[in-house]
Amino acid sequence: MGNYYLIMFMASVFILGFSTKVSSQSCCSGGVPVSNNLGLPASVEKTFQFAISYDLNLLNTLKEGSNWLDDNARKRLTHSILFQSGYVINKKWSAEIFASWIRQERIINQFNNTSQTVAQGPGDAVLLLKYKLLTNSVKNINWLVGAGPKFPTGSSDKKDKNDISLNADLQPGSGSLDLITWTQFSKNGKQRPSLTYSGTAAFSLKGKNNSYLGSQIYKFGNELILIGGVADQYVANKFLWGASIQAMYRHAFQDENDGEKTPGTGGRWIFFRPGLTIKPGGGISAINISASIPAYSWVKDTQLTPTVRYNVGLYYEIPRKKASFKSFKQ
Amino acid sequence: MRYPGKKHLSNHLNSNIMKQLHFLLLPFIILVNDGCKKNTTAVSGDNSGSVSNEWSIPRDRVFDGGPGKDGIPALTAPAFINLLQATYLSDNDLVVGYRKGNDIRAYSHNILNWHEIVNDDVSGDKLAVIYCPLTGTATGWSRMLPSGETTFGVSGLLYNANVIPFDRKTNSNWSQLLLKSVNGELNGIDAGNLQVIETTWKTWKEMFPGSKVLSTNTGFSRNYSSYPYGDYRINHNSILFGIVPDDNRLPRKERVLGIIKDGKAKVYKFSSLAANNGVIQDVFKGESLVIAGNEQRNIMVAFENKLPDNSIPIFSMDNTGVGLLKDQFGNIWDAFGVAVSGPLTGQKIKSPQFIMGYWMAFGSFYPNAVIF
Repeated sequence: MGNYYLIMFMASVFILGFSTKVSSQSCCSGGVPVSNNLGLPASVEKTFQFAISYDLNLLNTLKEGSNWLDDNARKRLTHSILFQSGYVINKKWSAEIFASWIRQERIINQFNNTSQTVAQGPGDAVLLLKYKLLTNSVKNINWLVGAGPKFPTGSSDKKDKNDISLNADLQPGSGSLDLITWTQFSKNGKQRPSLTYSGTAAFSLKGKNNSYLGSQIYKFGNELILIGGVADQYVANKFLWGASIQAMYRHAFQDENDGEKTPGTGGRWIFFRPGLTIKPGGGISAINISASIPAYSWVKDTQLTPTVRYNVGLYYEIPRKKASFKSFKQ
Repeated sequence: MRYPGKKHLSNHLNSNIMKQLHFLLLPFIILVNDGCKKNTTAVSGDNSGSVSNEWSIPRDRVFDGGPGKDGIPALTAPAFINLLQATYLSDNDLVVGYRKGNDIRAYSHNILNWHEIVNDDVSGDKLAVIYCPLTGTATGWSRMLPSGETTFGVSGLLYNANVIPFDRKTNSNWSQLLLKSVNGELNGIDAGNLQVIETTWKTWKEMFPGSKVLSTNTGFSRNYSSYPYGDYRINHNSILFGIVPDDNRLPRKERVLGIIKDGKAKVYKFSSLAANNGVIQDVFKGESLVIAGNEQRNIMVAFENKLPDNSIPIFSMDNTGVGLLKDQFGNIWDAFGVAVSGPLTGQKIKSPQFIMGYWMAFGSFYPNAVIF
């Protein structure tokens, strides 16, 4: 029976990833970490969930295809503060809102000079409605699917201090209304219930920014994220600790500029993501720390590509039966 | 962490639903509010050297191309190799050529695509070869400015999809196709033209077998056998940054020769040359000119229609190898306008300022440019 669920999950991943026409492309390997951070943990109904995290994406690796080029003069940093609020409406339905504040930095160390360009501001926001397709307390299985829009709340027309318009890759927002589909499957171990196997897939169907640089139409490429991992928990020093390891595959299709493919965008990456969780509140609050280390990357043309990514976050949930806002303020 | 008692909880269960929804929406509300201020909170910094905000071109048409200032590294004091050593080039690859006396050098597009500017010294000529991959235009500029000798770098900015070099002496920005500084201390100063030509590697080898060519030993790690812009150079629909006006009289990426004089341009096509047996005699802005070329050898050049001894030539094509033109006096002239044999051997015909490049560049920088 467990294999049946696994097959169904893989089938849904396939459908999510490939049923949509993939004629467009995405990229900016610099990107804001939206899809791979969606999906607050499953919880009991009437629970309010809140998460805030800081994500640093460092791009200091120059590649052509999968070949590394010995040049680290250019550096791109994307600092993201990610806000997530979720509410478990009932046993089947839950919703979450994802919002972000982004700081894009470009630093060039060349010819004994350093130049830095910064653009920052609110990023885009996502509303994700999730449905628990399957839950089996005997087999410890959960399967959720979700979908929702990504709203262009972030600015996509930032300029530098000389009033020069910056390109799409340096903007905090995309300027486009996107559709995100998402699914997550998890199963706890039989012998060791604290052991969790999970898989997540997300597909972003990107919309168009119709006013890019004033009069152009820019479309980031569609993006597919596949994540598989295992996590476990144990008690030590009066805290509940969790450790996880994930593998993440990201496929970003090429961007389009006025309907034509944008050179130097798009690629495929595999990351390993070790993570550590501390639950000082006995399962209610959690502090998460993780890193994403590229194990493989192939980029279209020549691009700066992620060198490492760090994420630290705080997760908090308020069980409906225990919390009230009035007393929470006390 | 304190938790409320059950009594409190039961009293507030219903009324707190709305509060919880508000809490759920809080991040979104914060961002929407902040987003409303986005134009005033546009925090940007650029330590790449402050320049005056006075531009002689529309600043709202100047865009940051993405790589940033010096993100595309210009070359300075480059290394050269002889033609036989240049195995990284294929016959159809384009090269930009410059000649000072017997010092003849080729600068390959393969390398210029990645560096855009080469600061060189050709037997005393302080030359900057400036190439824009997005407009396909190559120019030779003197590095001797009113403020002294300089080198040029790539600002990372574009105007009408065309490179904006900056000089390291004053940090002024220049427009390649307007041939002048457009921002900074030297705003309005014309670039000193050092005429370059452009042709294929195959033709170059035939015409200048004793020359040298830019080495891939640039000090930078790049694949000089690859082209970094996808199908850009052959896809007429692909423009990465808007151009105004977008003149559609010719396909955007058709390579043409443009003669520029007094802020005006006249454009010549390979097909027009073919229809005139490779030689066009024309007058532009009161100047009598000869445009010569050959689509098979992929070369087009322009000269004044007057020989160094002031006699008026009648040119015809010479496709014997090193020569491009021959005249009625028995002179054979190479693509730089230097007589390689005949009575005027070693002497040079003057050239107007001309640039090879994509039609879209001339159509946008020189509106209503005349097409021959």
